[in-house]
Amino acid sequence: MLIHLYGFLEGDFLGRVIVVDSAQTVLGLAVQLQAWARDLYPCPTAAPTVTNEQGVLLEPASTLTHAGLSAGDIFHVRGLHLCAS
Amino acid sequence: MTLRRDEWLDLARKVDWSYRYVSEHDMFPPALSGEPWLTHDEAWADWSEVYRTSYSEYVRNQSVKELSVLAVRDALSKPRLHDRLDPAWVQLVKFHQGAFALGEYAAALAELRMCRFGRDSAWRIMANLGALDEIRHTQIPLLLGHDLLEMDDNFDWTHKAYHTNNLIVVATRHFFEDGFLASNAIDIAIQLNFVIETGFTNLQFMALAAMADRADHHVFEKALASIQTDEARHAQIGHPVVRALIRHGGREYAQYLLDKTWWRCWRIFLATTGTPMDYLTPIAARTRSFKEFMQEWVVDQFMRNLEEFEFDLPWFWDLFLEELDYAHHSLQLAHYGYRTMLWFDLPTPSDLERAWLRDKYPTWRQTYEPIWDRIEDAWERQGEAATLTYTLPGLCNLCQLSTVFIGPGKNTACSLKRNGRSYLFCSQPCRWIFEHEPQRFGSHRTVVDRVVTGEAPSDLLDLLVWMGHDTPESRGRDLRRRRLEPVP
Repeated sequence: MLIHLYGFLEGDFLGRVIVVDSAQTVLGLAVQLQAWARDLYPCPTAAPTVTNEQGVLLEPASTLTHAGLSAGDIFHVRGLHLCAS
Repeated sequence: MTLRRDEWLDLARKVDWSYRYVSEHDMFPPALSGEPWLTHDEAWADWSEVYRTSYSEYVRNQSVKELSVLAVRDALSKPRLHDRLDPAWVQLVKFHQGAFALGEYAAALAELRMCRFGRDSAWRIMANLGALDEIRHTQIPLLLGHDLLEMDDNFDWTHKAYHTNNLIVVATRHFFEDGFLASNAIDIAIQLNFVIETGFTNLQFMALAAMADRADHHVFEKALASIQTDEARHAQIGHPVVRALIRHGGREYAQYLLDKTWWRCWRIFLATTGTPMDYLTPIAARTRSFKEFMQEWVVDQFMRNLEEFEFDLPWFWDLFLEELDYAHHSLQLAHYGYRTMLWFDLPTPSDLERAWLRDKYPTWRQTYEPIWDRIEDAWERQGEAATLTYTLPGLCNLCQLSTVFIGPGKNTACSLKRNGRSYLFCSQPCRWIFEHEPQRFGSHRTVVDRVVTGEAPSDLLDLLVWMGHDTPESRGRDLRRRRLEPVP
């Protein structure tokens, strides 16, 4: 099922709406958010950490449903490597 | 015998009478007059404004002010005179006109509500003059916006904006509808007169007027300064209402309205005034930064109001102070990325502007300049498409603005589940206001909510049309580079 989440990427300046399949993995979700911001942040780390609004670290291999993320939830992605320009 | 002014004005101001056919409660129902509901005799009979004005004085004064504005307009209406204005400044004016012209009309309706449902005749008379003021404040920008159409078609947003679902306009409309249109007389007196007009309008009508003068836009400067003199008169409605409320057990409620309005003002003004002041004003016209204006012209006045009535500082004060250095810079980046959703153009900061920003905001170099660097790189390497934001921004369910980071790595966004629905907020104060009045705000849907439920299109180009940007020309661009068509 497609759901919308609000993603906040470390080093970014605003929260972005991400539409994603709830069967997607947490890691896949992080990669999707990084991809949307890739023009400004061209070197995302391959192993980002993802937390929910409460700051709980989410297991990268878990599905979003299993990780407890549902429509309208907030998530944070950290571990970005900014490239030297 | 002709009475002198001082001999009849007090009598003419105080024409309250006893109602024979309806009760006072029915005449002034709480839903429209406000609460706590108190009889006129016990709470409102001594309502008094400091500076009194008769109707004939009002008409004479306004006539002089009006002629003064029109004289400057006539003198400066020669063809091509607008061409001398700084291009970024023109965008600031376009932004301001669209964001506020019809907001002033909402203020006219709010004054009219007090004119009918204010609890004392002196209050109602003052509000009557206030309504005339606000109608004037609507008409002046509409007139100037019309004049400016000759240089840019998008000045039609002066009138059009509030009739669209544009992302920023939804936020300003939400603000004005909450504070002005959907409020009772007491709430309006505190929100509009006591908080907004004694503090935040200084940004619009004093600070911006000073900048307009130095930007050589003298019609705009004259219009803003003229409006401010009206605001100063009818703003005095707020103080006697607050005084009566405190005297009769309404301190806690007054404190809530004050806190709520301060935060809502802060949010809307950082978006509509903070960003253009620091990013669209020519360097030579920047007398102060937005932060400095806020500190000197808004915070100081607000502190005096707090002290006069022994109110507490809003509980979120530390967060507000922290945001002064960051929030509008994050929002400016958001605006730049979403510029196709705006009715005005935005530049990337020039070298000179960057130096000014570094000087005024010591953390700007570390926090924001690298992002602007990467935007410049993206322009060079990949062109315009790489500099636009294609994901929708998370929008706050209270202020309706983008949920931005308010400091380096500091994200204040939070959520709330209520009746099976999930709400997003940019900050704890916005959630706090929502939780105080869930019935009032709970059914409203942001633009993102509307996209999610299918009410608004999810395709970005269709969404632009839905927001009122039905032609490519009506969409914002990079001010200095213009646009390489078509944008992917």
